[in-house]
Amino acid sequence: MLTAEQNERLTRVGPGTPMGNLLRRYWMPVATVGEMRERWTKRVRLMGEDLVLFKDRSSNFGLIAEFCPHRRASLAYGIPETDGIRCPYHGWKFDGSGQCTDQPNEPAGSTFKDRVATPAYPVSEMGGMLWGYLGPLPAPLVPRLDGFVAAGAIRHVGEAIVPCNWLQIMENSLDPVHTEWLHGLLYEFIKERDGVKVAIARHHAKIAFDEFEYGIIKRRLLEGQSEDSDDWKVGHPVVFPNVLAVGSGGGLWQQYTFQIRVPIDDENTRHYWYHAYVPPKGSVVPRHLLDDVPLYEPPIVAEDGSYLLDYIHGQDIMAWTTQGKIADRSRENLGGSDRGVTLYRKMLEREIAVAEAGGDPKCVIRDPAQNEYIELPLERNKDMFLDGFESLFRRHMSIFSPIAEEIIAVFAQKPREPAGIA
Amino acid sequence: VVTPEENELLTRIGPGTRMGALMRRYWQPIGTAGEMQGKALKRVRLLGEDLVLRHGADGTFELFEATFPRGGAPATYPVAELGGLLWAYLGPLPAPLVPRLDGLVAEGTIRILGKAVIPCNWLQIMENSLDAVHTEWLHGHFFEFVKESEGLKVSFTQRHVKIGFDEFEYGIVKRRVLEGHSEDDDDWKIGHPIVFPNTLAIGNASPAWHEYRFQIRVPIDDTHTQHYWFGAFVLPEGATAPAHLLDRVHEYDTPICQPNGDFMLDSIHGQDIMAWVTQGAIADRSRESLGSTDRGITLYRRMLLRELKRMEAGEDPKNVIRDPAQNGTIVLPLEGTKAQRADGFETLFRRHQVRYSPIAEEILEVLRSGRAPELVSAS
Repeated sequence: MLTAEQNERLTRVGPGTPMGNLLRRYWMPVATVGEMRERWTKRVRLMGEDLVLFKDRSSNFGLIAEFCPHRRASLAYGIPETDGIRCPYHGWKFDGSGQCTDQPNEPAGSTFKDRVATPAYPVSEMGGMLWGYLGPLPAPLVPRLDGFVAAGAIRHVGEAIVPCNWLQIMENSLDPVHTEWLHGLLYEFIKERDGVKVAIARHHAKIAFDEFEYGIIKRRLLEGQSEDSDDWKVGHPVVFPNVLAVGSGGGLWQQYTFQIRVPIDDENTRHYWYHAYVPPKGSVVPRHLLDDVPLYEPPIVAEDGSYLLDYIHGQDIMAWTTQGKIADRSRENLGGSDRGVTLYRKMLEREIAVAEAGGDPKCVIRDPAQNEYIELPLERNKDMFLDGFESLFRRHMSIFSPIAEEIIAVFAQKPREPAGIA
Repeated sequence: VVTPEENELLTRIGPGTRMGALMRRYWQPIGTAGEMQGKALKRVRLLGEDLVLRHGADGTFELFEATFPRGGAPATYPVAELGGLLWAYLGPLPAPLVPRLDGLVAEGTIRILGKAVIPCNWLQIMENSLDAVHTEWLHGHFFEFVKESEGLKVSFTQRHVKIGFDEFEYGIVKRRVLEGHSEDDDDWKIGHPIVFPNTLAIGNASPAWHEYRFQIRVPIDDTHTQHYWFGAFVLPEGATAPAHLLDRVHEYDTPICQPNGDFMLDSIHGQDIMAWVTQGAIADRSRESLGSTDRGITLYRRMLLRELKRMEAGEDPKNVIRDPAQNGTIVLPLEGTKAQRADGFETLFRRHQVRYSPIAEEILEVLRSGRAPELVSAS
């Protein structure tokens, strides 16, 4: 249980807040590259700041405050130029550094523009995503996690705006036993009439959490499993501070999944489900599946506003949002299975202190040699995946992807031999 | 730069606020006689007050508070009719006269009235009217950007060489010189006015193309504005109009966004609405950076504060009219030719919100019949 003050401290992400300052030390995805092919600007609200991601006519990206410092019209409707963007209202031009470079109706020779600048942040491209960095400069590197950069993978990314605070979503990832209930027994209950049974409902005999270089490794031993199983020996990580890495590192198949929780503000989270599938050896993969990272929007509620309880992410979203806009941790009762949650909270507090003392907090990477390819621990044979690729895929939000059936078709060719492309 | 306190003072218009008291010294339109035909009651929210407009069987109108203490009598307010519009007065009695602005009382015109609720404070909408150069960008370069794939070019992009603002009896006259034009042009010599405190008067005043346009910004509350686009088209010499076009004010709802919620960026009013609304529910003027082209805005803000003080000193503020002799017809300054209208009447008409009027095509037909072809289309 936390005090109300501790809860505020851990959840609030606006400018100047302790947690906001910590999270600003990390690159956050703000769009996909593909999404910006079709447009010049995208409104991005990030950690309580209203920003605009823009592309100029030289294809450079910029991330600047949404509201023009002149009279506060929105640069989301800006006019792109070769070297910046103009406000639609009076044509003031800003470059990617936020400097005002032209005020077309001020007198010739005026120095007013030199004294006007708007907040601006660095943008980077990695893994088909565009990332923004809102922290103190110099910016660190964008961590090249394995799934973002693995060669020959089919990728797609789902996006949803989840109307609750980011922390309760992250805590869900430090909570192994919820899968047994929320995705297992609840799912079987929802499907009771159909008599559906799923592997994920198996009972947890044991859980464990270990800090490692990039975050926390989560392990589980399900009833009937031996301690030699990957679920216990290898596990999978929460990458500090806001990414869950799941999937399967090869075995039944090879798949990377990152669930990235990007705080929009204190009460809304942009949730990305980033997937990279390495096709089985010998598979024939249509070229277009390798060229792009399509973006899709899985629904978070049904048309009538009710939760979508018949698939895994709909179940998660129900749990997250029913906890409240900001879960009231002063009224919780943590048990033995919640020690991953406690470990994570302590780590957040510890890293806030590191950042406040002037250090680089955990997982801030500045050495290019370290950043070539960050291989994360990941189970090969996951007990929960025993139902098979297609069965699991169809229970995931990935089923809403425009390339869903094509991915299933690729994996249906030779489902049990990972690696390699045609 | 304005402090947060000054911004509050300038924008808030609810009961008991200082700016609200100033705005209550002016008649505000609350609807039309036409919309009340066969209708007994209409809910009206005005200056943060919930009111009910009652249409009696004898044709008279009454305006009273929507809620009032048990056993008590509701406060009632005067209602007047002018130019087909119904006007309400929420200030101290005796009420002044409803200003008989030229376009409202001109005989034999075709009159239309577009209506929309804009989800932002009234002041940023008014300030847009004191901001001459925005047309070059918002309705010029930005328009061309929106229509880039079609290669559209518009005369609004002509550069402003000079802008001017002068106080006159009824408000502020706004002037401009565009590149390639001179101070002898109507754009500079005559200009067009903001009628204090909350009306923009535009249009055209040449014999071949004579129309009045008023944009009246009526505060519903601090964060919503009832916007009226009033138009009165004078028939060109030789043109005739069917009686149904002349016998009433033709009302319509002006859409402020597309069905999907996006702004309508391919029309002049849609561009304005985007600018107004994105400035925020109440624009934060403590975070603006005004340049030299914003001096019309500064002049207008100073005028609001000056008239507020005059009112608080017990005087009638600017443009409160009590002398019937002065109120025969108030003729406002208006350009006869405007450089920004070089694209031609019909092209401009279609780029404006008037295109949503149910009689839009009929108006065009009537005006074409008496108008030189070069005014109809500039192609």
